[in-house]
Order: sequence, then structure tokens, then C-alpha cells
Amino acid sequence: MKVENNDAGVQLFGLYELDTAGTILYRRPYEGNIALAADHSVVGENFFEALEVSENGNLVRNHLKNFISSRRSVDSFIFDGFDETALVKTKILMTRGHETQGDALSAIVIMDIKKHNA
Amino acid sequence: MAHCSLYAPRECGLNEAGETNIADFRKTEIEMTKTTPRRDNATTNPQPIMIVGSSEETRYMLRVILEIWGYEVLEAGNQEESIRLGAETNPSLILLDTSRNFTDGLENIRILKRQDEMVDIPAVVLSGYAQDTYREAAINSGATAFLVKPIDFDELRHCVSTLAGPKPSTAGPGNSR
Repeated sequence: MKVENNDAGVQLFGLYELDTAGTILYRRPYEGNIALAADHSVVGENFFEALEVSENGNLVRNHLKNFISSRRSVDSFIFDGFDETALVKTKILMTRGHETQGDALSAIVIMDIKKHNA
Repeated sequence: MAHCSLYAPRECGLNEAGETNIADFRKTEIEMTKTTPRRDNATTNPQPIMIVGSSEETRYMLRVILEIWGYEVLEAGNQEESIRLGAETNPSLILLDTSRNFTDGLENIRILKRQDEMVDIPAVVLSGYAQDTYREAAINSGATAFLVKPIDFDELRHCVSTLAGPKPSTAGPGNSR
């Protein structure tokens, strides 16, 4: 299982706010465990396309889909992801909620993606 | 004597002035015997927000969101820790997640509110139950506001900003108000 970064160098590790279709509404990359300034360059893009979630894209996508349709408020899972060239245990922690967008209340997911320290 | 709405689905029960909202009541009103707790220095408060709850993952996600909004955050995983941390740090707000055990969560609030250091600290209860009985039980236990999960981040931000003081950051979830 692996998740790769794309050619443009968008790092996977970070905090994301997504809508239920996977559109990135907010992104704050991590350097190690340090949160950097918000990155607006990928806002509006699809998470799975912007970060080129390759071989296991469906796994992550299905996890997200199942989580959104579940009653759980928090969920997490661990997979093998790439940090540049090295394979590292990566943890995705998710919580869901709502936010007003325009006149409507829209479902959103907050995803925290970090190296997993077992 | 303040009133507290138990039926304000898109509001946490607070108006813009940080008082409980008595407008648009659809059902019951409860008269509370104390004024709405809001810290005197709420507009400039540098004190941390204390997140209490037994779910480490929920505490972590709340911490991440609050830190994006610019708040300093402390976590307490159990009742004893919340009493100790609360007494030591004098938080501006207690955010209590009751998703694992609602009854224990309310007992935690009651105990915290008996501590001299924390009697005036506002407490927001997060619950997976939306029913009126849970909302009423939370308010009767000393909660200032009651929010239902999945969280409405605009609502949470409004609540936190009103009770603990606003922060300049408009980044992250819940910035549409």
C-alpha cells in the first residue's frame, strides 16, 4: 500500500478540510510535526487528484466515503505512504462536521495526515 | 437571572453579547439561577481552552482546529486530570466531549463547577445526542452551551469566540460567520 505525492511536489502530510466530494477547502502542510502556513495553491482541487493518491487511492477514497456515511465522529487508519523516497507509516485521522457555504449547511471532513509514530 | 434556550439548533444558545438567547424559543425555556458565565476578559483572553474527554482522537482533532483558530489548548483525558489542569491553568473555557459516556461527562462538569477556581468558567458540552433531554441535562449540570455532533464548525467557532474571546485568525473550518 502506498500513497505518493505528485510531480508538482505537493506533500501529503498536512491538515486538510475537504467537502464530501474530496474538494480541498483548506490545507496546512506539515514539516515533521510542525504546521506550516496555510497553502492556498491546491484549494478547489480534488484531494485525490492534487495529491495523486495512486495505488491505494481507492483505499483512502473508500475510507473517506465510509466515514462520511457512518455515524462515527472520528476515525483513523494507518497505511504505508511515501515521504520523498522512503516508505513510512502514515496515519490519517478524520473528523466530520458541517459548515455554512453560501446559504447551505455543507458536510465537511477534517483530515490530519502525519507520519505514524508507533 | 438568565434564560437559556434549549432549542436553538443553529445557535449555541448565546446571542452576540454572549448572553443566552431567549428569542425564537420553540419549546421550553429554563430559568437559570446564575448569570451566563462569560469571562470578564473574554475579548482579550490569553488563557487556554481546556478540552476534556476520554477519546484521545477527538481531543486531538478539536485541539488541531482550535489551534488553527489561534487558541492555546490543553487536554485532560479524565476527571482527575481536568480538575488538576483547571486549577493550575485557569482556562478561559472548558470544552467537554461526552461522546463516549454522556453521564460521566455531565458528572465531570458538575465536579468541575464545584471547584472554586472553575465555578465561573463557561463550559460547552459536545454530544452525539440531539434529544432535548440531553440538552436539558447538560444545561442543568452547569453547561453554558450544548453542541451536537457532527460539529457545526461555524457554531463551534461562534461559541468559542463568544465565551473565550475572539482570535484574529479566520483560517480553517467554520469561517463563514
